[in-house]
Amino acid sequence: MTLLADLLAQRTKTQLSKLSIRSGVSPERLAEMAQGSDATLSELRRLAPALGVLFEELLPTNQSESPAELLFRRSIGPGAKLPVSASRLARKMTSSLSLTSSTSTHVGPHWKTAFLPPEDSVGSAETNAAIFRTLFYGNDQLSPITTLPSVASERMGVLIYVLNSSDIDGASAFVDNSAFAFVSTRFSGRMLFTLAHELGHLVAHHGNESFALIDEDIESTPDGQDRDKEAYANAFASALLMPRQSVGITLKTVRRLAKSDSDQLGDTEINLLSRIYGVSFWAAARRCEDLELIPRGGAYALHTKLVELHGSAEQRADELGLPPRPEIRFPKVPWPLLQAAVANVRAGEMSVGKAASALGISIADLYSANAPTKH
Amino acid sequence: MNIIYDSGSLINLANGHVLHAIFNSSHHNAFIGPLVYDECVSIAPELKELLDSGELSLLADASLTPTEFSDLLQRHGLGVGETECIAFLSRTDFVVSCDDAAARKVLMSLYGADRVTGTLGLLILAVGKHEISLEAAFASYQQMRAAGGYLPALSLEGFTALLS
Repeated sequence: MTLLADLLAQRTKTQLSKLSIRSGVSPERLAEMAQGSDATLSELRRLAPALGVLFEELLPTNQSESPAELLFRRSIGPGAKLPVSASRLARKMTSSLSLTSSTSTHVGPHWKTAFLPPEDSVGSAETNAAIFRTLFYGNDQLSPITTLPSVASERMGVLIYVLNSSDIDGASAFVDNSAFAFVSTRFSGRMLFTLAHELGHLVAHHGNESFALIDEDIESTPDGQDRDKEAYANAFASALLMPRQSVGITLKTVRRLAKSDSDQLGDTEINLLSRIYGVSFWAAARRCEDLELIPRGGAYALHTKLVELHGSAEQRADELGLPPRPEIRFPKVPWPLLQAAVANVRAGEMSVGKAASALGISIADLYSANAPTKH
Repeated sequence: MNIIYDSGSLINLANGHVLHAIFNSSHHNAFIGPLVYDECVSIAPELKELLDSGELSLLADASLTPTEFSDLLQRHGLGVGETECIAFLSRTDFVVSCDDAAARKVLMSLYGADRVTGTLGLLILAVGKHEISLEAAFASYQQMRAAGGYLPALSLEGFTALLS
């Protein structure tokens, strides 16, 4: 099945109707294409932006699966269906590596041996989160780290891509000594936690062999062999974004300011934690469970109650007049790759159209990156 | 002369504020393919205006099949707009205006140097026909470079030397 047929087949009738309006391709033709009928070049051109993919991704190809795609397939086990986004991620990884291959003197991440192997899920996750803050945040073990996207990109050298994918939350991979983290566009608090989760997978990976992991829904607990890996990555993300000691100090301060003697933690305090640390209410509440500040199951109960009474935890936070969320900025493209692309185009090693496509940016963006003020 | 434009060339001409001057030049008719048009999002309003006024014409891609296009894309390793130029050149006797070094190399090897020009070539041609002054053309070239155009670094003397 082609990517186009896959993308169309996963859409509901209403979504296809909206797609028809956005693309100018009739619903009848969309239905035919979903069944595998060939599209014309003009149809592909109109459908690509409406589907949020690159035109060239929709073209027929005789190429067999790329090594990166095979890594994703290996990670899900035999028989399981690979999410539609996996082949797109694999293509991005292959394109990224093609950009760096001629210019890179890359010898692999300097941090690779700095972390403990994840022998004990929660314990080593807490330790590795502290090591992460020591390495990349000047040993600041307390402050919120809403700058994580830029720090992971610039100081760790992780190639971070923001995706327009509905079928996965994120993914991570280590290929040819390059570390990749993919984060799907969601609410900013969830994206920050997803990035920290993917970094958890990366720091837990020891050895030089390549790996690739897809996280379809990081808030659910998978079965089988992935259970420990996912539990570890979630524990790492929680400890990194909301360090135990920091949460304790914050709550003490909040209670002092509110002149509260109560040891009870309610939705207001958790909502405040979520705003301070830039994570979702759900992530903050789960962290409170892990720190035994609320009973097991409390996160689910509180979250359900807020949705029932207020529509969402965010709505409740706004009604309470809590401070706004910190802005979390994800780089549009990995900075080292942008530099490599400019160098390749200047040297005539790669065309500007090919380089722009590899990065998923416009040709005008690649021109701006070449402007004298940028180098 | 019929000239089909690649994205980079159009963006350079727009950044140098000479789109109208070049397109209204007596020596050529300007064409653009649909994929190149889509690539030029940053100058879409200018292109729309040029298409509406008839100074630029949009080519139809109905005769290109996705399989043929995909083959060209994989064979030459260029971007989609550059590949579209290759496809149109194979069906016409047009000349292509392309500023990208890697794409020019492929285009010249396929169709010969006579069918490949670029922004600098068009500026020089317009100067030679007294449609733009040398000073205005050089100022325009400098604006293109300042905006990030992938063009060779030339002094005024070097630029002038292209006229000969």
